[in-house]
Amino acid sequence: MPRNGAQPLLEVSQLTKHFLGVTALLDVSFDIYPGELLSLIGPNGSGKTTLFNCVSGFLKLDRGQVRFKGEDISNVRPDKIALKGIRRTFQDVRTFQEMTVLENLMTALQQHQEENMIERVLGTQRIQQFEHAARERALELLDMVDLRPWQHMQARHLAYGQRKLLEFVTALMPDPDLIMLDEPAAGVSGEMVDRMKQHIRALNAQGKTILVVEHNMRVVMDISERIVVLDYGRKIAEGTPSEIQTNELVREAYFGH
Amino acid sequence: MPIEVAIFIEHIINGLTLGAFYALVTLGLSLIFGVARLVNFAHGDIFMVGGYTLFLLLNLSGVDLPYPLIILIVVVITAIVGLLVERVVIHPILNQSWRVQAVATLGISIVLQNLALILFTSDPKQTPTPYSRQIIEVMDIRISVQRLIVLVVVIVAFVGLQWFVKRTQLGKAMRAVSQNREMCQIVGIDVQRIAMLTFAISAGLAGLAAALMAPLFSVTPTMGLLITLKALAAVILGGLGQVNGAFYAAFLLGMIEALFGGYVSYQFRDVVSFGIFVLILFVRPQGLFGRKVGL
Repeated sequence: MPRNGAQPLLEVSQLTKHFLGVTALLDVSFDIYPGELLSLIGPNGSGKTTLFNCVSGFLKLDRGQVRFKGEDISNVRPDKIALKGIRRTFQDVRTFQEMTVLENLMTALQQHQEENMIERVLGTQRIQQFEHAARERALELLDMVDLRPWQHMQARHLAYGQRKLLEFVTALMPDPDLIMLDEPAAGVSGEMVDRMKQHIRALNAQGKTILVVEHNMRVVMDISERIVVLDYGRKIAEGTPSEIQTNELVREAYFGH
Repeated sequence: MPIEVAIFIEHIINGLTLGAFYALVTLGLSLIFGVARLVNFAHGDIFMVGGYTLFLLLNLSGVDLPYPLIILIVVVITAIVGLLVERVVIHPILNQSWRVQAVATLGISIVLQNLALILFTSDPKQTPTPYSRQIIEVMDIRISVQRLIVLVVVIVAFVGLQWFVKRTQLGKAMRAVSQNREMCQIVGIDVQRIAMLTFAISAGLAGLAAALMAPLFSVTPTMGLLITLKALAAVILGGLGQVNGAFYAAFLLGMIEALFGGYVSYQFRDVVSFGIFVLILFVRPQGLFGRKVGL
């Protein structure tokens, strides 16, 4: 919902995507306002991940438009979208496996700085300051998710839940304007689900705009301000958690007729 | 010093130079393999282009360029050739199957060889530098200055490359791309740009090898093939994707060839190095420094 007449941060309008004749998304539209926490829910195969991939540039749109801070980012390459200030995670956790935890975070930030090779060779003060600030931020984030003791361990040696946390803070590293989390609570223990929930809540409380895809209804109802429901690639409902819980169409989509 | 010992030391030094040369070529090949996941069968032919560039620069009428400047020009020109090859041929097939990539890079190899044949004929070209006939003698050990230059430059180049990959943003991005391309896009790394620059660096390394080593033998249009195969042998021996492993394997190959060539038979040294390559793979299919991969 618009706050003080603010412009939406992300505008998705009439997004349509087909896969070999199967309609994955049809005319899906919604907006996210700065500081909002919006969840995207729907039964399996309803098009949530497809929508994520379209917004983050990993899939081309067939029709429709995605605007970020008023700028059209439809069909822009994923690395360019990342640099514009949208970071995402994946359902099946992606990290640089052969890099240490700290290197993972540093790599996530490094590309935001244009490097002058001569400055690097000379190790100028500007470069040193940047490195220092980046390391400080990385360690702060690792403290937040209790991964600091593992900072020099290669990511492939971490437990699944830890890798999920690493992927989460990697997305936060460049302080993006929009964070997209694909099933942050999937595949981890109950205790880890609660921790994830707390982290997401804290982040939102700091004013971060977050888009979440999540299966775990308890989590979704707990953390979301607003929810968009997809079914067979169409948006069937949008509203606050309490509105969604009492929505007939949503019940039908989830529990059948 | 007994003459046998002096000769032995000479062979060892020859082996080190040969190994350093293979290492330089191998580095380029394994960089491309790591970042773009493709085997560049035209890598040796880029070396050949470097050899002819050296030949032209040494025979410029009226100009006598200093050798370090010549090396620099050869590196720059081969890097540009590498960049062009990437833009024109590799870029469109970067995400294709390995078969398509193999045919494409073999195609580049054939085109470059035939261009050289048209431009320079099949006569071997000599590329002597002021240092290739200069010999220093220490305690009965005779070494050409050119070989010493090769050794020193390769070590400097290797240390420089290590620094580049570990410390610079571009180098770190190359490491990142070789680990996980999709993840790179998430953190904002332009994979295509990194692939392009890797090709340029790899070709530049082949050019450096040519500028250093061609003066010790002659340049022909088809010399690239054997160099590609040797480098490939070193890459596989070192363990695919293990850049440092390939580097050491290259030295091992060089040493075997120099000792066998010096003491047994110069003609059969390639047979022996490839033979040992096959034997080692029998015992360690993952390469000497590779991690064992379960199936």
